Amino acid sequence: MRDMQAGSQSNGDYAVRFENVTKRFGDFTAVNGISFQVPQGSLFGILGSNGAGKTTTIRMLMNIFRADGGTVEVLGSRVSDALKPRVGYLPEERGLYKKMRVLELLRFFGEVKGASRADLDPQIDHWLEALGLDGWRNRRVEELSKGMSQKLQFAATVVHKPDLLILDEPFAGLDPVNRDVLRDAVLEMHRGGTTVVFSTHVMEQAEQLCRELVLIHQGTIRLGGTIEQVRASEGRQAVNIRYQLRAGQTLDDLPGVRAVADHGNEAELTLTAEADPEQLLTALMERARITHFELMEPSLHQIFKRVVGGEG
Amino acid sequence: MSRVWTVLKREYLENVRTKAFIIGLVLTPLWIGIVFFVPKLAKDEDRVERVLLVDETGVLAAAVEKRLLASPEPRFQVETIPASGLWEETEEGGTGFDRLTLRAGAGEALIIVLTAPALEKREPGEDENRSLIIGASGFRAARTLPILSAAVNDAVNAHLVESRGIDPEIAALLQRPAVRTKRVDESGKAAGEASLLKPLIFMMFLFMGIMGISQMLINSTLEEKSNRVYEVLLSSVSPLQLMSGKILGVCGIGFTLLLLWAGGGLGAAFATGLTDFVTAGQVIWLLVFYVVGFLFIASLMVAIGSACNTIKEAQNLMAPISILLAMPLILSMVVLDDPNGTMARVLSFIPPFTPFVLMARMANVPAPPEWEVWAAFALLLVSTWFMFRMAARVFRVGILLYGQPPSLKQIVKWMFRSPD
Repeated sequence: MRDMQAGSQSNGDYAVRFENVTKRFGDFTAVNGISFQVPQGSLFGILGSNGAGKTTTIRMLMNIFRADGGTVEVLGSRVSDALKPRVGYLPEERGLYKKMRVLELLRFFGEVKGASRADLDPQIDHWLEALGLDGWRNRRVEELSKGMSQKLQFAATVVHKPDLLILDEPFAGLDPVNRDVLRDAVLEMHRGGTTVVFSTHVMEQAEQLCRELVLIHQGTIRLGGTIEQVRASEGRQAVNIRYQLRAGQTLDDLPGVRAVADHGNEAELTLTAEADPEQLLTALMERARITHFELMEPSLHQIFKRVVGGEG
Repeated sequence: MSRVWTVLKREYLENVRTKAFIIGLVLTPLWIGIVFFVPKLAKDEDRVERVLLVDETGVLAAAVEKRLLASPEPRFQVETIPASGLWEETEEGGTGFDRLTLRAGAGEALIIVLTAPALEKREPGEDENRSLIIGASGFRAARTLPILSAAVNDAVNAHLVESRGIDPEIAALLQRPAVRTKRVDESGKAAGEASLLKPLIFMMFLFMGIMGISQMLINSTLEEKSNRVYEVLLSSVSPLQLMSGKILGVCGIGFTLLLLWAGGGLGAAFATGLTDFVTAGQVIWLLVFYVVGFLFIASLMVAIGSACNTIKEAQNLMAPISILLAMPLILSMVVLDDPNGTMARVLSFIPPFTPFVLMARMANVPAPPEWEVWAAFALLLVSTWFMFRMAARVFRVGILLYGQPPSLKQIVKWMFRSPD
């Protein structure tokens, strides 16, 4: 299936293209004129806080919702039900048949995508093993733990070998071990040539995984591009410190600092455009014992907070 | 189409493997069997009814007793007690009649009081003059009363014939029934007793097949919604494909049941020698009506299931609809009493009722006119298609909607708004 797409598309460079897309629910505009492209074979992040419009965007991408205005293109053609077999979708709310057995369930989700059992079974074997579910194939889904169910859901999303993989908050609620297992699985798909689009509100995950991203807030795109572009566009630097405050001191009103993300032992300070890091370090040393001072590009987390906070 | 088939197959297999299916398979015919046949089997050969006979006339007791003792089932044990003092106060309080009444009330015995005026000329409405049969409230009226009444009437008549010097030959002529009944089918062949039962059995099977099985759709829709499976499925199939697959899968379950039941029914018919109980045509119509009627009602069920989040919400929405759908069963006596009457004909043309009413009428003799069958069936097809489309619109919106359940008004709005 993957071979088909290579040169046969009108718009071959992009796996997904949104052009001025709007979606309204009654009087509420969930997505307002968004445009972005997901390059073929990329690992692409859709970022935003809860209720920003991520899921609506993804549902339009899946043709579950239809856009009220604009164009949605998937794998080179206008979005339609005909494309569904080539796409794998992991919704934010996981959905499995609890009474079915693991193997039956994976076959069902693969067959409903149009894949044959002969194609499915080797894939099922592969993913059950890769995700550590090998011993569970004849167990009922209801016997699985939450983490295992989530991995099973992922397997159900990829057994038909999609060209485009859409993951809505794929890591939500996973423990660190399972998160790594799932991350490796996502990377495997990506390296195999599948375009991966995933949404998250956890910026660190986006930072680690994706090359390109868009940041949606209140139904519009506030930022977009490669991680480097996004950071450069922010134009501000940040300082990471590890510190112990002296008695009676605070991190308030530091020179050249416009925002502080204080984690207790560590803090991330966002600098103003004119800030002088040296002057800041001097000021900091008067107030606290500084064991670490690192000048760095702003994190997505900081950028996100600024955008969402409606500042500057 | 292959997607629909995959959804259908899963829905079918998941349900057929459940215990509920097996239980339904066995219990329904059992239940029908109990309703129809157990009363016939419940003959209580050993039971003897005790009768106290009070004869004010002084001439009837022996004749009544003789007739009662001749009854093979139920059998009677008769004791004649003197009529003297029947209306006088006793030492214990109350008249003798009152005390007898109490004994009857306690279930000790049935009491027959043969009153003297019963032999005199009776005016219409003169109830007081008749003889009296008294039983406890729980006595087996359906079985015993006709025998007791006949015994008393016969005895009175016989006495009158004799005492008034009427020619016994004339008396016998007067008692002879002048009318007999015969039921025939189109070809003039006598229709046996079985055909009285048949329409009702057909109707019940159809009704239970459709209503019972389509309920499964509410549950399965709600379950998938609460398991959040829909969004995953919608990434593979369209809402219409999904709904079609589900409905057809469950329809297949009912079809399997019906086939097994019909097969069992035919087997039973042959085993008991009632070979002309059902015709092939009737079986085919039964299956056709099942499928079309099912699609109509299942559309309704799926729409309701998809709009709700819990069984309770669904039940609230279902309550008024259930009553409506039970109409053909409630009105079945009217329909069967006059299968080609106005009521039956009108009900035939009301789509959700069409399969049940038409099936009952077609199992009857004479069958309804052919044009009526086809016209009603065509109307049913069109309205089923319409229901299915409307349900698809509700389903499409409902399955992704959580939280506050929609009102009926909102659901109707979804039905008539074109899909976004």
